[in-house]
Amino acid sequence: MAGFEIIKDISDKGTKLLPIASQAYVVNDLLTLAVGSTTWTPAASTTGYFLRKAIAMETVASTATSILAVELDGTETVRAESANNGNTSHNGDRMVLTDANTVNNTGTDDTGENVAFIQEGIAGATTDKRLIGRVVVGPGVNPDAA
Amino acid sequence: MSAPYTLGQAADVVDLSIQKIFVKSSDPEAQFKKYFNFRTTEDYYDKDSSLTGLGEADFVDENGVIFSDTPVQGYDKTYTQNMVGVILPYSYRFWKFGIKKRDLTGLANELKLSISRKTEKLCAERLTNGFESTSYTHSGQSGSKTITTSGGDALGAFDDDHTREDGGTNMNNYVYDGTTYNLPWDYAGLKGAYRTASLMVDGRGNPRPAMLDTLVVKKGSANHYRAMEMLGAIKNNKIPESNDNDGAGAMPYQILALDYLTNASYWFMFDSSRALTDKEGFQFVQSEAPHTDPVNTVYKTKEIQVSATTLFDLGHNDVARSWVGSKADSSGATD
Repeated sequence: MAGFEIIKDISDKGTKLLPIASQAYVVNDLLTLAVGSTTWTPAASTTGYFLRKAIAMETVASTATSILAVELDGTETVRAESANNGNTSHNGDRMVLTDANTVNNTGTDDTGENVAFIQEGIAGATTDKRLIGRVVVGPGVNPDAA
Repeated sequence: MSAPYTLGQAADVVDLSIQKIFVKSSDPEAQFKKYFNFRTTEDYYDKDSSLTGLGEADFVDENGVIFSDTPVQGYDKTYTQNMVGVILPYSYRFWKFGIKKRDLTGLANELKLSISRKTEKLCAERLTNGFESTSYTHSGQSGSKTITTSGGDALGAFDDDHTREDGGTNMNNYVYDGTTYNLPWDYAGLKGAYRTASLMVDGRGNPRPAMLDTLVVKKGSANHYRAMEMLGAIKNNKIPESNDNDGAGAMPYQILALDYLTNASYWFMFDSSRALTDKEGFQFVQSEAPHTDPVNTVYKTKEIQVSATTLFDLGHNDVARSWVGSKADSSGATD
């Protein structure tokens, strides 16, 4: 299944309705709340490490104004679809996203602020393109902000 | 997933235009007990060792001192219990309007089936990764894990250098006809396997040939079909793959075609009178059978969690005298 799945979580998190606008989502899409915004949007390659993030638990049309989701606290083990074949030598790499359902695993540790995923392993065969790791979350405030 | 399964992820269960919802999944045939010796334990560590027998008695001169001999201690092998488990969480609404109303309670059986799949996969991987290698990387759904596969002699299951307990000539259990290792599966390969087994010795070097009676191949592979064709000829007392009028020179064998063996070329044979005993062969040591744990309800969310777990270990101390294996590429006896 494409997208992001929580596969291990010591806490029993509840789901909640997050406000969205003019955007369709499918199950396992990663959402984020941009600084200064009140509605959640799809995570993208520009999503920073410091932003709040959540995983969609339902498919909704663009007319929807809310979506059922699980907000991440960063301790969950997450399985994510990747752009390239899995490679355990990338364990520990910080990675940016391709889009809301794919991690861009280039094989290079990304030192920029748009990091959203840290790989800890791979799931299944390398060609399955599924990574194991953690979604990087923050308080929603850019520490570089003036 | 660890987050609960919600109606939004399986909206079909509350779609009244759908009359039937089937659970479609793999129901693995329980095959591992046919080539792994299954035994139970109560302990975290289960360790076995051995003593060899004696060599040959010898002549005694008149009024001479009788020759004395003592056994040699064999190799130790420790089986350490591992837990394998899976949890299936779902929201209360999914449970009430999906599972209960649709009578999908069979979904819970998936938990045990997923353990069966893991067990079959782990056992078959011992064969696939058994040549010279002492470890391999197992790919699981939640990550990969390095699994050690060495036996009591610290070598892989199939090796031409199995160390003999008394320090004598190393032992080989690659299929070997005296010239070529790793013979392909055909009549010559079968005879090579019998030859390899005929040269097996005990820990003191005494002849102890194995009577290979079971062939292990990947189900549906060319080896599998060739095995059935050859077996038909042998049962008709004919030489397989030949128009020769001579009778078959090989004994019929059982074919164990594994669903979970990933390599279609590799083939193996074993002597079931040895390989399925506590004493030798691959061992599956279980301290807790697969079982469904009590249902847990999260008080704050009413999320319902069901899980299944089991505890076991698998491996081998000594397969050098009961199993032979071939990579079927006529390569040397190395990785």
